[in-house]
Parts: sequence; structure tokens; C-alpha cells
Amino acid sequence: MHTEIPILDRHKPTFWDWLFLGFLALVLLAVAGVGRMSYVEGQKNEASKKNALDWATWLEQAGTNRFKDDFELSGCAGGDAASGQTWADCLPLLIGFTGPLSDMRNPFTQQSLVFAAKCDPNNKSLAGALVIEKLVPTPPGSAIPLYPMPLTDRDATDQKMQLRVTACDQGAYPGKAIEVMF
Amino acid sequence: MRPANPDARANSGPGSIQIGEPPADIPTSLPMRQWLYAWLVDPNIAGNLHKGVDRWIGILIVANLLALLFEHLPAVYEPYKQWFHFFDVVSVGVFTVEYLLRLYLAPEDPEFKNAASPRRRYMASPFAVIDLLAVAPFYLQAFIPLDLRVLRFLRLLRILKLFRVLIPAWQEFILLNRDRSFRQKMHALVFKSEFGGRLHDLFDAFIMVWVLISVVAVILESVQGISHVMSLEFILLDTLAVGIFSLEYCIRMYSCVEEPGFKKALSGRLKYAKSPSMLVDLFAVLPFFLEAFLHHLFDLRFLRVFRLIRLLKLTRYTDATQTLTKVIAREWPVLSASAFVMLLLVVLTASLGYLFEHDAQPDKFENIPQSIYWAVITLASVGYGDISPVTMMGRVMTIILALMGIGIFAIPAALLSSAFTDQLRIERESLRNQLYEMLEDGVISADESELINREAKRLHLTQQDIDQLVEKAKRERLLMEDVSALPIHKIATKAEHAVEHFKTLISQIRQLGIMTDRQKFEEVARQSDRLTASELALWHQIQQNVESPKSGA
Repeated sequence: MHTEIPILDRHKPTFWDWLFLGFLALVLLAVAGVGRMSYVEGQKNEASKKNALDWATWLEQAGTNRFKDDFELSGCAGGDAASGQTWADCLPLLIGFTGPLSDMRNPFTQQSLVFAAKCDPNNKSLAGALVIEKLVPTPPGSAIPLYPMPLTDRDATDQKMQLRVTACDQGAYPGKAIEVMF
Repeated sequence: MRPANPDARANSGPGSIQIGEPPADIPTSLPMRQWLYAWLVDPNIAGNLHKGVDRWIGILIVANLLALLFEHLPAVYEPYKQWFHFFDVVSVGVFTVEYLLRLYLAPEDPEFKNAASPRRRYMASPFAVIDLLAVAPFYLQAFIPLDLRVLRFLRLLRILKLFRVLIPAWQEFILLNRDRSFRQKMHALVFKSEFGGRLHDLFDAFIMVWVLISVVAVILESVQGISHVMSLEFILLDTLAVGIFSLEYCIRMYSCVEEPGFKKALSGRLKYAKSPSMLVDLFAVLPFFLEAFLHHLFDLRFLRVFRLIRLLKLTRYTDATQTLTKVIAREWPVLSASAFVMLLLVVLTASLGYLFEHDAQPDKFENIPQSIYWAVITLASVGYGDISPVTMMGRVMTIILALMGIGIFAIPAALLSSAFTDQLRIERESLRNQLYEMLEDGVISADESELINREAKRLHLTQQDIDQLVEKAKRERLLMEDVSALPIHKIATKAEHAVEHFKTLISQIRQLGIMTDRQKFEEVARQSDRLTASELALWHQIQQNVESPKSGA
């Protein structure tokens, strides 16, 4: 007796193959989702870097103009006429309602920009904060020529000063420092 | 694929086993166009330059793609604008030469040669259209002012040239996997098998390229100057790499049940997932997900360095790691004994250092654990010099221990080195045995030749090494065939050898009869009953056979 052996169509994917393909699609979606999350966080970091760059650019430009008589922000002006002025006189003018850097926001919190003494990975709330330090010359013979110190409200601004602007990133680690002459 | 000379691989003379493909035997008497086609384009002639040309064109396409990506980064593009332009000009030059060459050779191509106008037919073929699209925008911009972004987009079309390699590989894969299930096809794609063909090789190459790209990206990301300007690009690159590696991981897990030893659906897959190469694959993608989901809870920045584990993925494509594992496993008892002696010496040195130096330098030799650092640095002959002994006893002890350290710390290195040499010798010996078996029929077939080729590549053997091994195996086989040189129990194992040996013995008895004084021989044999009657009768019979031809003559 001749029996017909049914030929299994092996070309077509089985149920398990489809299940696997579905799982594969899910994995790729998960990777894309996580990648998007990282990209959005990365964009916040970029915005934070841009804040630092804008500050550095303004400070650098002001560094040459503020010693002229027609400098608009009198609190940030330098020279003999501004003798006795401190950073406390300048900062509110910059970030105040009409200040040139007033519209800046912390990209991580969408709140106003925060200034910190230094970036600290143990304090995650500092993500997106700006650190402005003054670079103080070290005694002759030292291994490094300049030493960074936090810029305080009492620091005099009437003379030229070398500053360093750093943005804290997502993990509150310091980003690339930009040095300017203010 | 037909070799230029089909017999080139199927003879057994020394030097006949060619490592790699034998050079194509294309007669120089061919007409120029035919000769060029045979050397550069014909995919059916083994040993011609077709594969090399395809490979270099493929590399140039990938390099073009990378250049295009980097052109979007002002920090990279602006300082090297001229170089980017120069590279673009060179690439277009190469692609144009390739296009014109293929156009010129079209009448030799079996696909177009029967057409009324082979070149016109070639120009209308999809591959030729792709080739033209890859170079046309470059020439077009000389006549029509094109927007830079449009131009860059059009340059992206160069990637389509890869289809010239991909499509034939895909067609071969389909052919090899006809009537096979989807899972088997997936298996053929990611695992080494007879069904993988060139597509499997391309898949491996693709994964290797991505491993290298992602590792270079991780290294460059640690340079603050670079990561500052390219952080978003690094995120995209990492996402792509993880996507590709996750895809590979899933396909491997799904199709591993086609591998011998992992047949069971669940336990087979679990067993495979626990294998070192799969653990490496898992750890290669895990930091990406962990960092994204857990960064709010922990600082997982350190996990980024673990992305360098991806480099270990390359071990799947080399046997060197397997050899190292074998060597360590074989020498483990001696290595562990050596490690024990080292440990003993370190603890002893640290304790003595603490004993002699603590009073003189309490800040440096504060306790024994701190002295261990000094002991290891001294015994390993590194000697940073940040901690050094100042007392007389401490210095004397340091001299002795430094000298001992040279010997003790060198033991594992020497062990591993000699074990590697041994392993290589064993593997060569095994190849020689294989050759010996292959030479049984006096012929090395094409399959056998391919196997030897693979082994030669794995063991990094030169053509000279292979010739020597073949010669050695041949000598041994000849020696084996000379049965007189073998012990009787060896001869007895093969009936052919036993018959030959029997014939040799008979001839020796005949020779004895001719050379000896036969009368005296018989007297001695009869007198002292040295030979039995049947033995004497056999002697007579053999000697008669000697005499009868003589008498006949």
C-alpha cells in the first residue's frame, strides 16, 4: 500500500518563530526607547553646556567692555570708577529680570539657573548648576600656576580677573571648564 | 566556484597543498578584455583578484559612510576640511574607474554577453545604476549648483554599492538553506555551519566592525575634549551598537537549539546562556539598560567602562583564547602551586618589612596590609620607589627578596610560555596525524585540502611548514609500508602486510638454501633433531621450488 507522507512546509515561520520575531521587535523597541531616554538626557546636558558657554562668552566680551565708560551694567563695571564693587553687585544685574542672562533655565529642573561653589556627584540636585570660580595665581615655584577658588559675593570686580565657568552635568559631575578673562 | 586548475588541489606531492587559494592560472595569451575580466571581475575563478577588489571597494564604501558622518561634526570637519575633500575626490576616482571598467568588460560577462548591446544592457542593470548614482552627484555639482545637504544625502547612496556584495551572498544563503526551517536559517546566519555561506561571513564581519566602532567610541568618550563636542553622537552610536548586539544575542539564544549539545528548548538555551561567550555578549549590552533604569538610585557611571567588555566578543572569532584556556587548564596544578609560593613569599616579606621598618617609618609601614603593597612592588621588580626601606635589616632583606622575586615571579610566565609551545607542538602533531590518515589513499582531495588550509590558518603555519609536515607524513607512510621494519604484532594487524611479510620470509629461506651448504644443513638438522620432520619437509619443498626453475632452464 502506498502511503502519502505529508510534506511539512518548512518555509513558513511557525508560531514560535512569530513569537520570537515579536520578542525581537520588543527588544529593539526597548533599545530604541532607552536610547531616546539617553538622548533626551544628553540634550539636557548639551543645554547645560550651552548655558556655561553663553555665560563664558558674555563674561569674555564684558571683560573688554566693562572698563569703558559707556558700559551699561554699572554694577559689573571695572576700573577706578568702580572701586569697591563686588560680585554681589554684578550677579543680580546679570540674572535679574532685565539682565542679559536672565532667560536661562536649568535644563534638568526647568527652574532658574542655580550657582554652586562646586559640582558634587553626591548632591544630585546640582545637576545643571553653574560653577564660576576665580583663578588665583599660586606662589612662584608651585607645580600649577593657577588655583581655582569659589567666586564669592565679597570678591572685588574692579580689576581684571581670570574666571572659570563649568556646568554640572546630569550626574552633578563637572563638565568641561571654560576659562575667561573678565 | 571553479578553480583555474581543478587538479591543483587534488594531488599529494609536497607543496601541492596551497595555503589560501592557489593563484589563478589564467593564460596570458587571452585577449586583453577577456584577460582583465578573468582577473578582476569573474566570480567563478578561484584565486583571481575578484574577492580582493570587492573587499577593498567594500572598505572604501564604509570609510565613505564614516567620512559623511564626521562631516556633520564641525569640530571634526572644519580643521580637516581639505582632507575630507581629498578623500572624497579619491573615492569618486576609484568608483568611477570601477564603473568604467565594468562597462568596458560587460561584453565578457555571461549575464550581458548575449544581449544585442551588452554595454547598454549593463548600464540598465540595477547594480550599474547604483554605481552611477554613487558618483554622479560629484560630477553633477560641477555643472549644477547643488545644496550641500542635498549633495551629502546623494553621497549616502554610495552605501547602496554594498548590495553588490550583499545580494549574491543572500542568494547563495537562500540556495543553501532551501527546505530548511526559519530557526535553522537563523542558526546558519549566526553560527558557523555548512549552510552559512558568505552571508554568515558578512554577518561576522559586520559584528566585528561594530565591536571595534563601539570600543573606539568608549575610549574616545573618555577624552573630555572629544566627548564635550560629540556627546549626543556617542549616545546614538551606543544605542545603535546595543541594538545590533541585542539582536545578535536574541538570534543566538533562539537558534542555539540547532547546535549539538544544546538541543533542549529550555535547558539547552539555559546551558548556552551560561557559556562564557554568551555571558560576554550579555555584559556587553547590560550597562546600557542598567544605567538608563537605575541611574536615579545609584551612580552607575563606572558601568560605562564595562562597555569595553565588548572587545571580548572578538574572542568568538579567534582560537587564541581557546588555546590560552587549554594551556591554563593543563598547567593549572603547577600554576596554582606557583601562586601559593608567591602568596607565601608576599605575606612573609610584608611581615618582615613591617617588623624591620615600622619603627623607622611608621607612616609608610603602618601595618602588614600596607606592607603587602611594598612587598608585591619589590618582588615583582617594579620598584615605584614611593615606599623603600631605610634600616640596615630592611635593606638586606630587600636585596634577598628582590633576587628571589625575580625567580619566583618568573615561574608562571615561563610555565605559560613553555605550555604554549607544547600546545602548538601537540596541535601540529595532530595535523601531521591527520595528514598521515589523508595520505592513506595517496591522494589529498579538495575537501581534505580545505581542512588542512583551515588548520594551517588557525595554527599560523607557513607554506614551508605545511610542506615539511606533508613530507614527514609521507615518509612515515612509506616506512609503514616497509613491513620488514615493523614488529610482528604490527604486521599481523593487516592481512596485506602479513602476506607481504610471509613472501619476504619465504624468499629469505630460499636465499638461505642458495647460500648455505645444503648437505651440511640437512645433516645437522637430522642429527640433533633440530628440525621436525614437517619442518624439514617444508625446507625441501621451498628449496625444490628454487631448483625446479633451474632444472627447467
